[in-house]
Amino acid sequence: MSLLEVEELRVRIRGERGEVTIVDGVDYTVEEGQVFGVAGESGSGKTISVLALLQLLPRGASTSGRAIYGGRDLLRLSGRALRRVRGRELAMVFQDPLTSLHPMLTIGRQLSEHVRVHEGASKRAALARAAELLAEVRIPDPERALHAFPHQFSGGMRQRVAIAGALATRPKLLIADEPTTALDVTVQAGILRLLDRLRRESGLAVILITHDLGVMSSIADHVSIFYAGRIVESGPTKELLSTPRHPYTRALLDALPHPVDDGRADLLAIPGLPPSPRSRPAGCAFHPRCAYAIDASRVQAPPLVTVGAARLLACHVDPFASPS
Amino acid sequence: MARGRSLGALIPGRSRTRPPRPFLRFLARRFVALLFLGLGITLVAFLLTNLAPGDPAAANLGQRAIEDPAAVASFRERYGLDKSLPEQYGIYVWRLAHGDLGESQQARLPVTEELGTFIPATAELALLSILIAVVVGVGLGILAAIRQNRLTDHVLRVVSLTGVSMPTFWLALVALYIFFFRLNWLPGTGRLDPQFSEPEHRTGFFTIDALLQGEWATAGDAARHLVLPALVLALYNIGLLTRYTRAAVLEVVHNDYIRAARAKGISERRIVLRHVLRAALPSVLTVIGLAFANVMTGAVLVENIFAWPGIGQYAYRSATTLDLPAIMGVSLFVAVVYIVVNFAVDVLYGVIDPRIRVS
Ligand SMILES: Nc1ncnc2c1ncn2[C@@H]1O[C@H](COP(=O)(O)OP(=O)(O)OP(=O)(O)O)[C@@H](O)[C@H]1O
Ligand code: SF4
Ligand SMILES: [Mg+2]
Repeated sequence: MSLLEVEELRVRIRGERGEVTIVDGVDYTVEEGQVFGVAGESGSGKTISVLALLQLLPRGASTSGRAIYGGRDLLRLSGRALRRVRGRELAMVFQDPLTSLHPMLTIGRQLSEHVRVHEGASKRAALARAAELLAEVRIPDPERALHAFPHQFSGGMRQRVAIAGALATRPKLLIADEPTTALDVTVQAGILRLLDRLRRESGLAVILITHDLGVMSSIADHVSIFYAGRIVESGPTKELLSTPRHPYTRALLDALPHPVDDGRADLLAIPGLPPSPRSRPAGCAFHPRCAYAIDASRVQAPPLVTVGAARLLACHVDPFASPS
Repeated sequence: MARGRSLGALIPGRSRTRPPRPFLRFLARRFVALLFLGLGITLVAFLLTNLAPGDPAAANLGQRAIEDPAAVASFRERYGLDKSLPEQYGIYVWRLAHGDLGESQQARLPVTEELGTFIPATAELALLSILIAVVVGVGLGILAAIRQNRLTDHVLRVVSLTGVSMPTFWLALVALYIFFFRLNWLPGTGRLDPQFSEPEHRTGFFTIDALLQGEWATAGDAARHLVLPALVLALYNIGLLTRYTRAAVLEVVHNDYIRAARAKGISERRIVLRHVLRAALPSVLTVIGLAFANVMTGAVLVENIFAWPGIGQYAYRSATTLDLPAIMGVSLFVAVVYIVVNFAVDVLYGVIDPRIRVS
């Protein structure tokens, strides 16, 4: 059994101008010890789709589908059961490190409170573990940092503090939304090594959202590409990055000057704009920007189907199919 | 390096090895500003009281004495009214620096002595009233925020609006009519029923003094006398604090760090009480500072209606008789309260929010 099975996940958000579908039927599974990469343009619904797993969506959002974890549907947990999963089983590192720490509480408090709540650990023990974790994420003078406040640290340090906080309860699944964007290369490498070690030693699974293909190829086992609220392609990292089959994935990789060279390349410029969830094109949402679009692309959304060992693709045309 | 230094200076618990200098400097700066403010206030108060139309001699001397030029002249001389204004002010400040506020024209007692008897009465009433307002107002504000747009919230909105828009004197009269006159549940006027004698003066708070001396019945009676005026005085502030606390909590609730706390599996209750309230505290504190100002003004009405022998009554009496030294004394007292409250609020901002301590 997989650690997490997400099926037909849909998220709608009610706004001033009616309801919009942000995440439009997403399926994936995450295995124990796996690093599951998620990439895709800004606004494609990556963050919203993971917030849904912990029921942390903004007001006015509604969810459908299933997210089975440990035999239970995360989307339907409530009360104590939900709190037990949050933070203890599934931990989250948020996209914006500057705003996800409480400005008036000490770092030590923010790293130990949930450990005490979940494990009934003593203050001393929880703080000791917090200091250890701060050392692991390379915060200088961890003992002292415990007494400091977030504003005394740089953005990158705060991001590392947030990572330490997420790992403090030794969760089984870490959801990390752009966890290394504010970090310089050496610190970033340290964080990735830490995650890699944790997954080998304790089977930590990670859902890693990142724009950084260097990070992706160095640590992710599997990559899913999001486009307009759907997964358009997914597969083992090496394979997917070397032989992308969806025109969008292809365009993403082509848009890079030197794919996977210095590890700092971002998934960015593709001609045309990503569609807003409010005005998603009918059929394949990518068709206005796709050079391979056919009539069917404009009418019918292509289903995500198996196109090889562990590879999935949603394209009517499949223009880059391997000849074999 | 710079970060290391400022870290050491700011981290609580390390202050023994490294004094928190920025904070001390902050305090010192505020303090010097206060001294100048205080001096300015004496000047303004002095000018306002002395430039007000009306003749203190006429207000304070009897009908016969008024017609006797010698009596008027001696009255003027006695209170220094025959000197020029700058001279009068100079004398006033000089005496003030020596703790002398002059002598009231009505009772012919040192103003300091009169203040000494009236201030504790007002302080007991005002502090209790503010305590009630803070506990109830902040509590209701939190409740309204977490029940946003639900029935509780709507009901509380009506309640708090009523609280801030009901004139205090009207409220006082209604409360007096219902709870004293009609139901006779609570005493209507004064600090103690006549059969009790005042407890020996220690703090000047009858409840506390009586308790300190083990006079339970007296303490109980003093407490019962406090209920109506304190509640009437609190209602406006309850409304105010409910509204502002609600707004402050709602502003904080939508922050990412609250979502992050939720993601860690911390209970809603704990999140509200420890995380949300902490961040909302500076805004709430501002309104608590305002509450002091409201109580000072409200006390004039409430003390007069409830025959509460405090500063409010004293102020009213001195103003209607143009008792200049007394008016000045009251003005100074009120100014000092404002200054002290503002100073306390400023300092507490720094205590609550570590980011402020730096600047
Ligand atoms: N609170 C909200 N209310 C309404 N719409 C929202 C809200 N939050 C996000 N959205 C919309 O949902 C869509 C997906 O947002 P999401 O944050 O999941 O994108 P993302 O893939 O994480 O992008 P990025 O790479 O920029 O982080 C966006 O179009 C965004 O405008
Ligand atoms: S389905 Fe059509 S439009 Fe969509 S990616 Fe494939 S070819 Fe392009
Ligand atoms: Mg995002």
